[in-house]
Amino acid sequence: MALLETEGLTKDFGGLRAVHDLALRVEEGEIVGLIGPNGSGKTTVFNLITGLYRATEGRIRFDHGRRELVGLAPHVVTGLGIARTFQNQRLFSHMTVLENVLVGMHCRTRAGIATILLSTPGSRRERRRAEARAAELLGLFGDRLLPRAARPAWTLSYANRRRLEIVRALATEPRLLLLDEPAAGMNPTETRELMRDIERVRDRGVTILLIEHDMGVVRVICERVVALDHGTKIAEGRFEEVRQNPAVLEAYLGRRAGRA
Amino acid sequence: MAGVLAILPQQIVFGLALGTVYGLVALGYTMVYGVLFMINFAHGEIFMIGAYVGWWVLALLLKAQVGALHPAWVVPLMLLHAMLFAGLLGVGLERFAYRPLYLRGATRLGPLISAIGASIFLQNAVMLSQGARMKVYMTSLLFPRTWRIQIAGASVSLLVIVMIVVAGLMMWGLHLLVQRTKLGRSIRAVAEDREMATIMGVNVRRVIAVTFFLGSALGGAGGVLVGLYYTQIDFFMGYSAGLKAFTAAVLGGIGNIRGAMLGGLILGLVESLAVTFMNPAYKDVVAFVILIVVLVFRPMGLLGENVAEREKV
Repeated sequence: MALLETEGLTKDFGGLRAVHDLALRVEEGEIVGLIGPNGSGKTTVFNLITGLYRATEGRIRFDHGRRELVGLAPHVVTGLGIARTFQNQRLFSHMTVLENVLVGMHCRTRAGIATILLSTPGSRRERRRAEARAAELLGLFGDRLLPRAARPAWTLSYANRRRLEIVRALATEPRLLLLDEPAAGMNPTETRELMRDIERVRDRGVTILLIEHDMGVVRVICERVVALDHGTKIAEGRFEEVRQNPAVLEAYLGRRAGRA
Repeated sequence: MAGVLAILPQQIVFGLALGTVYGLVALGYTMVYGVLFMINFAHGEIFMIGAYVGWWVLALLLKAQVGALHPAWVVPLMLLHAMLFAGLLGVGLERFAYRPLYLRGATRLGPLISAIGASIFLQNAVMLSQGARMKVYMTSLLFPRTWRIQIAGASVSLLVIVMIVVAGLMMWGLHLLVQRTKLGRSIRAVAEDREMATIMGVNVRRVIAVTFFLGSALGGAGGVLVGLYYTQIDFFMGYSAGLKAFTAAVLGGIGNIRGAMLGGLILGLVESLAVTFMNPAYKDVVAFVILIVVLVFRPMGLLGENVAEREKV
C-alpha cells in the first residue's frame, strides 16, 4: 500500500457534497500535485486528512495501510507524521520566529508539566536540543529566517512568513507534508526558490502533497497530478497527460488556456 | 491635608496589597478568556472556595493542637491546599459545565450562561455545606498585631507584606511559565489560533484544562490572602471580589496576562487612595469611573489588543 491512501472518501456539508468518492494515493517520496478550480474540494481533502473535518464516508489510510485516520483528533494525526500549511497565513504572529518552530516540535519533545516546573537538568537539556534543532530547520532557508529568529513573526516579509510556515510544519517531523498553495502571492524569483526548497524537503525524506494554482510550479516539481472538479477526481497521471485530458481542459485548464 | 499626607504611604501599601490580590484573581478571568473566549463567571466562587479551604486548614491545625502556629509554614500549607482544591474544581467545571457546550459548537453565550449557573450552584453548595453565617479567619493567631514594619513613614503589618510578596511571586512565576516554557508556549499558541495549534500537534483540550487549573489555583490563593486580610469569609464573598477582579482584567485588557496584573494594581491603588481622599462609600464609584474612562479611550483595555485591527492585516 501507499504512504497515504483514501478510499471512497466523501464529505457532505448539509446538502453540499464537497468531496465525492475520492480515491487518492500518495507513494513514499513522491511530490504529488492536487489541482482543480476554486471550490473543487482540494482544501477540504486536506482538512479531512488532517482531522479538522470528519469524513462523512470512506477511509483514509496512512503509513502503508497501518493507520486509519478517520476519527482521529488533529493533534494525533500530526503526531503520526502528517503536517500541513494553510492557504492563508496562520503563523502565531505574536511569538518569535524561533518560538513558532518550537511549538511545532512540541509533539516530539517529552518534558511533562512536572519536569518543566522543576526545571530538571533533563528538561533543560531537551530544551537546548530543541532550540538547536529549530535553528537547523530555520537554516533550511539559508539566511532568510535564521538571522531573524528572535523577532516576532509578524515582522517578517510575506515570502519569509510563507517560508516559516513550511519550517514550522517540518518541525513536527512529518513523513507527509501537505502544502496549500505555497507559491500564492510570491513573485517569479521567490517561486523559483520555493520550488528548489520543496524539492530539498522531499530529498530529506518527506513526501509532499500540494495544492497549487501556479501550473508552472506543478509542471516542474510534481511527479504526479490529481485533478478534482466538484469534489470528484476527473484525472490523474503525469502533468502533461492530465493537461491533455478533455475533462480537465473543460473544468480548469481549458478556461485558463482560452484566456491566455 | 497634612493628616491625609501622613497616612498616604500607608494607604499606598494597602493599595498595593489589595491590587496584587485583585491581579491574582483577575489572572483567572483573563487566562480562561485567552484560550476559550469566555468569561468564567464562576471564578469568583472558586476564589471563595479557596478561602474556605484555607480556613479549614487553619481550623484543623488549631483542632489538632500541633503547637505554635508559625505563618512561615502555616500560610504555605493553606495556600497549597486552597490552590490544589481550587485548581481541580476549575478543571471539573471546565470538564462538566463548559466543555460539553463548546465541543458541540454552542455559541459563546452557552458556556457563559453555564458559568453563571455554576456560580449560583457553587454559592449554594457552600452555603448548605458550610452554613450561611460568616466564618472568622484566626489571622491574629498567625500574625500578631505587634508584627509591624516601618516603611517610608508607614507602619505596615507583616501580613500586608506577605500578601504583596506571595501574590507578586505567583504572578512572576506565571509570567515565567507562560513566556519561557513549552507549556506556556502551548497556551499562547492555543490563545492565538486554536485550530493551527491543534494542527501543530498541541493537545488543545489538555491545554485548556491546564489553563483552567492554573487560573483557578491562583484564584484560590487569592481567596486565602483575602480571607487572612479581612478575617471574615462567607459564601457570597466571591460575587463582589469576582466582579472587582473581572473589572481589573477588563481594565488591563482581557486576555492579556500582564494587563490583568496591571489592572489589578491600578484598581487596588485607586480604591485605597479614594478611601484616603474622600468618603469611603465612593471607592467603588471611583473604580468604575476609571474603568469607564479607560474603556472610552481604549476599548481593548490598557494592554489589550485591538482585535478588529489585527484581523484587518
